[in-house]
Amino acid sequence: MEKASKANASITRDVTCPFCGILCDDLVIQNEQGSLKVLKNGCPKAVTSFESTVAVNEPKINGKSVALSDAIDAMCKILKKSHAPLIAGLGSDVAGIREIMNLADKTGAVIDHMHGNALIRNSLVLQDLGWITTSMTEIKNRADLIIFAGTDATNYPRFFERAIWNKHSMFKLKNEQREIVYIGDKLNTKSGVNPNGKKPSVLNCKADQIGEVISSLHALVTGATLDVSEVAGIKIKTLQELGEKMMAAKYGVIVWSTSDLDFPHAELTIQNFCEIVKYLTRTTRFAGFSLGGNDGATTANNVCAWQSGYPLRVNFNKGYPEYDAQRYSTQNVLKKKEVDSLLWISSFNSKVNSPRASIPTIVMATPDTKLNFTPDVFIPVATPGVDHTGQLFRTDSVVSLPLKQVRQSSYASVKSILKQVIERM
Amino acid sequence: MSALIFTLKNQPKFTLNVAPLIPENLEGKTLAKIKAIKLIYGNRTVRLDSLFNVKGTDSTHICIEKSSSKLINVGQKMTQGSISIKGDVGDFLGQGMKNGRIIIDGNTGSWAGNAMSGGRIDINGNALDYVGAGAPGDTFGMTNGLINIKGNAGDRVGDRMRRGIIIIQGKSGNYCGSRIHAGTIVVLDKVGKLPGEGMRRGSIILAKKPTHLSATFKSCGNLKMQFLRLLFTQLANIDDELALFSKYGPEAHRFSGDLARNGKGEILILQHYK
Amino acid sequence: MYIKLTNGIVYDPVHGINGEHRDIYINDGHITRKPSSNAKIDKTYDLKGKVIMAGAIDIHTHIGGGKVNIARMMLPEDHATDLVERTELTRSGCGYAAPSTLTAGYRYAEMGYTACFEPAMLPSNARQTHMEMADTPMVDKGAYAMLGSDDFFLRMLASKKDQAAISDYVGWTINATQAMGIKVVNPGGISAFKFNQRKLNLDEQNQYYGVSPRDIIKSLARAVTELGIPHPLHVHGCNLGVPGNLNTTLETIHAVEGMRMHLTHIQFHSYGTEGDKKFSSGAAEIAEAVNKNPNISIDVGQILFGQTVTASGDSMLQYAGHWHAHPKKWVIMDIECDAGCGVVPFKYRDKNFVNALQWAIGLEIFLLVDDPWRVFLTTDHPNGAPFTSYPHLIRLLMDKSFRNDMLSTINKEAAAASTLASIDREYSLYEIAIMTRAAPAKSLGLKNRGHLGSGAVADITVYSNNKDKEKMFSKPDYVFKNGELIVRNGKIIKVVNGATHTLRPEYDNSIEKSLKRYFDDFQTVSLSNFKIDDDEIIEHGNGKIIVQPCM
Repeated sequence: MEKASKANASITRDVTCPFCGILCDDLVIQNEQGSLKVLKNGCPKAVTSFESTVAVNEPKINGKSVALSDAIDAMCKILKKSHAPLIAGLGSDVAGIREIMNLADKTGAVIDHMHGNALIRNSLVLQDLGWITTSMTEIKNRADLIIFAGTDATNYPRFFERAIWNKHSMFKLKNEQREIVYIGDKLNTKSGVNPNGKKPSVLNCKADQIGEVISSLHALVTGATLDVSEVAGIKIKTLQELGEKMMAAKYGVIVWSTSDLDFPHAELTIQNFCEIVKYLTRTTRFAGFSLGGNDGATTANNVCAWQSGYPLRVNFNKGYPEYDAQRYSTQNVLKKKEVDSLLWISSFNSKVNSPRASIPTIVMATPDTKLNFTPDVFIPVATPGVDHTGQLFRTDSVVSLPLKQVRQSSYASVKSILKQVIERM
Repeated sequence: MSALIFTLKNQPKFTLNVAPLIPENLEGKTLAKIKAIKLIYGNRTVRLDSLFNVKGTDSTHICIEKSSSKLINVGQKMTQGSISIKGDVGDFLGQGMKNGRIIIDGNTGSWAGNAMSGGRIDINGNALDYVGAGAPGDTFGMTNGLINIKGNAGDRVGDRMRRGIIIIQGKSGNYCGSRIHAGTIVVLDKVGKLPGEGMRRGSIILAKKPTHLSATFKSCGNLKMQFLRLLFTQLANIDDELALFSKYGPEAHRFSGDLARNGKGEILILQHYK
Repeated sequence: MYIKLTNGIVYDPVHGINGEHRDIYINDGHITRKPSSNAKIDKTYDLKGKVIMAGAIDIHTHIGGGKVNIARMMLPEDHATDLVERTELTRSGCGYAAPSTLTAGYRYAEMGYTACFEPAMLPSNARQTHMEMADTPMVDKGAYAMLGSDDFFLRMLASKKDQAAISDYVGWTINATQAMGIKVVNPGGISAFKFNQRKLNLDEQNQYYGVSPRDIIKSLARAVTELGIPHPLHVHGCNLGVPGNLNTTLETIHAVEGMRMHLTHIQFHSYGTEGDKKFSSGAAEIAEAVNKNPNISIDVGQILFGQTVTASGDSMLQYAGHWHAHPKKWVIMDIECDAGCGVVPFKYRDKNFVNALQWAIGLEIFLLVDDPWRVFLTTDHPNGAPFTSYPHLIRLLMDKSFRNDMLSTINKEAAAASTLASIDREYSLYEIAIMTRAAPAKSLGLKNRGHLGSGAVADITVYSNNKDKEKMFSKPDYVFKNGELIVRNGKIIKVVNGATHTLRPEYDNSIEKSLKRYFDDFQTVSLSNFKIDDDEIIEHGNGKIIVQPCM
């Protein structure tokens, strides 16, 4: 931290923002007597999250304030008694997830992330087909055709600024040489307008029709003819033109968002993206890019994979990791009553609510989280990248970034709490 | 000899994996030994007889009575004999089974006949999603054998199947026959949207027109198909239960696809005789 | 506290000790001279008839980082049949070809290994590599930073920046990524693939930058030399797996003009084009060139039959190889205008001509290279086979009749095309100790490891001498790490966290000025966040850093 011009204020530069999956790391944050201000490069999401005042909260047992140590004891009691714990939410950083993995192993728990439904859509494609993907710096410097399939990236407010509309690019790719295409329904295409005013092409169809549109496109680029004159309301001629552009692109990218493709079996749609990318790569270069990873989702998936061998979701009931992306979802195991205790962890977003279940429930969440029920144990936790240092994975699952501490916090980190839990178990 | 009967004492609290209860595993075991089999229940291990009453002697004919949707992996990897089930079961009925027969009078969860490579499963009730499919990490879905469902099936019937036959006498959900490499799926009642999504080879035989067929299937018109005649005869020869096609002739509207996978598969929509 | 290992038969090539009875004393984590007679010996191990070596060191094993984690995520089927239950001491895990980090650490220790080096750490993925290495317990670890297809280096080379500046950049990279060496993978080829070039020979130019793999190798080898990095430039050459690449490899050896160079998994680069199938062994020529050029060291990258997964930074050739994926799924990734990766599962079949000949070629190279100080035992885990097959490989090298038995089971044409049957050489225990301990330590500049002399860190493995060398090396009687007993009878009895070895070469830090501008203009992370500080390994990784001296 450095001294700011204001007395009693310090300024931290190159701050990584932990509040969405693209981890912008150029924020400048001022701390004036504990209250934070984003001086530079904050999107609305970052500003709201960094600048919100920290609520005063305390560890609680059945709604009654207790010392942290007592709350930890109560937590241990629940977990020890449990025959089938569920550890979910998993909104934490690398260090926190490491402890969660250790605890899950020790207690024979099922683990799932709050964005598990989105995460596994990619895992299922990876495990059936694999893919060709790319990362943000490649898009920034190379991509001359970018197709947004079912997403407008508005959940990642600075994606266009950071990865597409550039002042500089390594290979002298100019903004006007870039082509943006959207496929989907009700997309906000404003960000896709080229700084020189050129509008993006937009192909309108419902989210669950994108899969068929892409596979029709795939059939067309292989030279097949189709019986129909339009697919999901899009003229075949339009698709043909897009197909030609894709074949002619030097480095094309299909961008999707695992959370925006939110309908049953959306993995089949993602698989269609990956199939056409693989086909086009036979002659030119094309790649996929998946947006996601909020609340440490990409981090949890990666740490889980290297520590257990499997991506999420995993069950340690049997003493070894057992993978089942679908069955071990939070919703499924709660609905089918396959678990008898719940530990919910969410240390980034205060608006996330723990599921309410009729089993002993422990919630470790940000202090200003407003639950719609009283859990058996509540422990307020610090936010990585604000209250303490840490590490997170970016949405491309290859770059990870260090998180800085920008204020002093009286709340403990997920890691330190779980370490105590594990010691006492 | 009387069939070996496992009667569930109470509805189990947690999902219970009963993979050990297959004929080859119980053969030659005394009743006492069988009762002492360890099952994983939650994060602990329990004795089988804490959950089941057991009687009977013939381990080649296993019965599960008062069965529950909490029981999973029933008949996993079985290679011989039979298992008959009174009641429902959960996921992975007959997972990886190689031979033998499973009959259930109730409903099953998802992944019935998951990656099975032989034998036969008869489900008198309904099945949820992924009948005869492969779980992530399985190279294929079912690679041989027969699944016969009297009721309805959920989505993704036969996902990634390689060979074998699945018959759904009731309705089937969306993406029926998704990503199949080969094999035959028959649906006698309605089918959901986008059957044959991503199929490479194989036949999906439908008695009713699907609500929506992907644009990546091409019509080949109405054809008389020797394949259908053979299939109907083959099934009828197995047993009367499978003589289901008196209403249908060998004529069908054939669609080929999925063109996005260079697909050489077909969706056949049967035509009524009369 | 003194520990005495008595009556054992010691193999310590650094000190020329070849199977002699020696007592070894351990004090405070180190091997020490015999203490004075009044010193109290707290614990004595009677190792009558047992073999004592330093802890083994794997110089090239893909244990951590993005590509390995992709392999884990992609292949649940690899794990489902190889599950590891948790115990009172150890965590659960799984995986055969792509095991979980904890399981990998346990298995290495249980085989008598005490240090492992991840050879392909992309600078942009270095943080993850360190995270995974931090979660690989029991062994020490370290990683080589991958350069040569990164835009910053290529544009320096293209604009003919002087070598000093390039060396500064290489030095900066080692510091910034906490690396132990520099690796180059398909030099310039990973970048060329992003410009849609599908092959790149040694003297072919990368379309955009106009530089060739030869230029890249020379420049990086020089930088490594000038910075005094102990381990020579670690080269995964051009044309991996391509029939006829034997000539590329021979030319690459000459390209460095006498500078030191390590050619990794050379088996995959030793193919001729003779015979009906246009695929033949180049082992004899390669071995001859290695024998003649003392500046060259190699590791073999032996293949062994069975299912595995290939994980490589070489996206260009992994793409070319994807047609052979088994099962049919694969991943290619372009990464940060820095590098890339390709993950392709593969099954080596003993009845397949090409696979069988690959197996023979690897063994031929092992047996035809004279100097065990310059050839290291690797399978390029998991690319040729999982590291758990090392004991089997050692038996193949030490036991001619076993080797010939195996030879008689492989594809007949391949067996006939190989000279393996005519090679009588059997490795001795002394030579195994060289290639798995002394030589890797020397090559990496680990002065107090890989030997059993006074002052060495007490990383020690004790085996029962068994005629069946596979059995012998699968299950050591004892393994000591930093003087602590961690494995008994091939089973972990104490879990420890190894350290991370790094280097801190000196360089002119004014390079950061141009790097700062470069990062601000072109990259999507800032320069300061790109760099990995010690705390990320110590505090966040619960680890320890050991800075090894440069030359």
